[in-house]
Amino acid sequence: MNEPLITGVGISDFGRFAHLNEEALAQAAILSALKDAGVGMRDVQAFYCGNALGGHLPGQRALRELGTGGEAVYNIDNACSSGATAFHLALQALRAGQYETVLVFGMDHLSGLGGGALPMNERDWNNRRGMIMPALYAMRAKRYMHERGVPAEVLADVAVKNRRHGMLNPIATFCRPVTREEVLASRMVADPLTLLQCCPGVVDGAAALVLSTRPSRGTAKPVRVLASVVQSGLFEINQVDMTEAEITRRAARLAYEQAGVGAGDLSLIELHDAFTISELLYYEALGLCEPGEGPGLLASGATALGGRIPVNASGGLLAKGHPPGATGVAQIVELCEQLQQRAGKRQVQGARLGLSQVTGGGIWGVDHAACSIHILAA
Amino acid sequence: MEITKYPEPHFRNDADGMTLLGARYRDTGELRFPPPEFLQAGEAAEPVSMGASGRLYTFTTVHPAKAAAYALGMVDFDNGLRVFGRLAWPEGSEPAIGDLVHAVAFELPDGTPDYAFAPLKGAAA
Repeated sequence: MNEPLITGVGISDFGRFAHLNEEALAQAAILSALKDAGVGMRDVQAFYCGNALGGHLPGQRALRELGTGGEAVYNIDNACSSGATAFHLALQALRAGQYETVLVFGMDHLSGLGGGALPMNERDWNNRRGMIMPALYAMRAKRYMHERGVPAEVLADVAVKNRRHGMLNPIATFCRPVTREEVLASRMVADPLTLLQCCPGVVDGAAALVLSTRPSRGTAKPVRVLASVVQSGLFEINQVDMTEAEITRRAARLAYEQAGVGAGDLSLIELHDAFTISELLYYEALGLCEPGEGPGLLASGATALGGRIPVNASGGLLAKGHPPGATGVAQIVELCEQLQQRAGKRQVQGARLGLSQVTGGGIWGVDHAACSIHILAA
Repeated sequence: MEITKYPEPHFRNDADGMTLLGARYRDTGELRFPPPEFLQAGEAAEPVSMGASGRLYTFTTVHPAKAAAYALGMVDFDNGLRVFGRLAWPEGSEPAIGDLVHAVAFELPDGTPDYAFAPLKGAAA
C-alpha cells in the first residue's frame, strides 16, 4: 500500500464573521483543499470533521450542500484537539487500507457564543467553583514565575513575537501588532495574564486537508506524515508540578520515536499558545530547551522568524485566534505551506521538518485532557 | 450493574470550624478529594479528614468583563492531595504562594453550601 500523503490544504480567513456560520467557513476551506489537491468531491471516500462547540452533526451540516455521494462522515470532539484527532483517525484509516482518499476538516464559529472564555461543562467539580481556562493557565504562570524568578515582561514578549508573525499571515484578520507595554497594560483577565496574553476569545475559522494514498494531482508537492500521536491526560489529584506540561512531554517523546527524529532536527513548530505561558511550558516539554530555559530561548530570538527554530510562524493562536475545532487542522495546513515553500512573507527558509502540538482541557483531575502531536516532512 | 452513590459530604462543620473530608477506598487505601460521586461494583470508601490546614501552591484572581473579580487557588495538604477552590481573603490583603490556609464556609452560585480557603490567622508563609 502507498504511504498516505497530504495532497491538498485549504484554510478560511480567521476573524470575526458574525454574519457567517461554521458551515460556510468549513465549506470555504474544504473547496480550497479539494482544488489544491486537484480532486473533486466524488473522489473523497470519507470525511473526518473536528468540531468542539457546534452541536450535533457538524460535519454533515457543512457537507450537505457540497455534493457528496453519502460517504461516511465521522464527527470528532476532543476539545481543542478535535481537528488534530480527526487527522490522526483519518491517517489510521488510510494506513489500514480502509480508504484511499479522505477529507479532514475542522471548524468553530465563536461569534455565535457571546464572547468571553470558552464555555465549560458546568457539572465539572472545578468549573462549578469558577474555573475557566485562563485561570488554569494563570495559576501555572504564577507558579512558574515564582519558582523561576521570571518577570511579567517575559510572558508579554511571547505575545509580541507571535502577533509580529501574525501580521505576515493574510488569514489572521484579527491580528494587530502590539508592544510589550501594550500587552502588560491591557485589561487583566486572570492575574498575571492580561487580555493580550490570551488568544482572542471570539474568532471564527475553518481548515481542511486532503489525505490520499493515490498519486497526487495537487498543485504542490505532497507532504509526508512521519508521526501522528494522540494522548490523554493522567488522573492526577496529588501534588504535581504545574510548571511541567507532562502530557505534551509524553506525546512528544512518542512522536520523536515514531518519526525517528529529535527536537534538534526540526525546522519549525506550530504549538498551542492559547496563553503566553503555554508557549514557554511547551518549549520545555517539546525538548527545545531544558526546564527553566524557556525564557532564555525566547529572548535569544531562536523561536522568532529568522531564528534557529521558529515557533508559531503563522502567528499561532495568539495572533490567528482559536476556533477549537479548526486549530489542529490549521496548524497542519501551516506546516504544509511552510514545507512546500509557499508561506509567503512568513516563509521559514529551507523548512523541511515541522511539528504541530495542540492540547485540550477543561475537566478536573486532568490538567490537559488531550494532546496531539504531528511531525510532517517535505 | 452495581452503582452506589457515595453518601458522605465533602466537608463538615463543628466547634473548630469547617474541615474538608476526602475519601479513602477500603480495598486500596487510595485517598481522594473530592470524594467519588459513585462507587462501582461493591467498592467501599469512608470519609477522612483532610487536616486543619494546607499550603497555597498557586493562585489567581479572575477579572470577568461584566462581573465582580474572584480569586482561585490550589492548596496542598499534608496527606499529599491538592485541592482546588475559591479563595476568601480579607479585603486589603493579598494571597501569596506558601500561605497557610484553612477551609471556610462559602456558597456556590446556586446557593449550595461549599468551601473556600482563607488565610490561617497568625500564620506566616
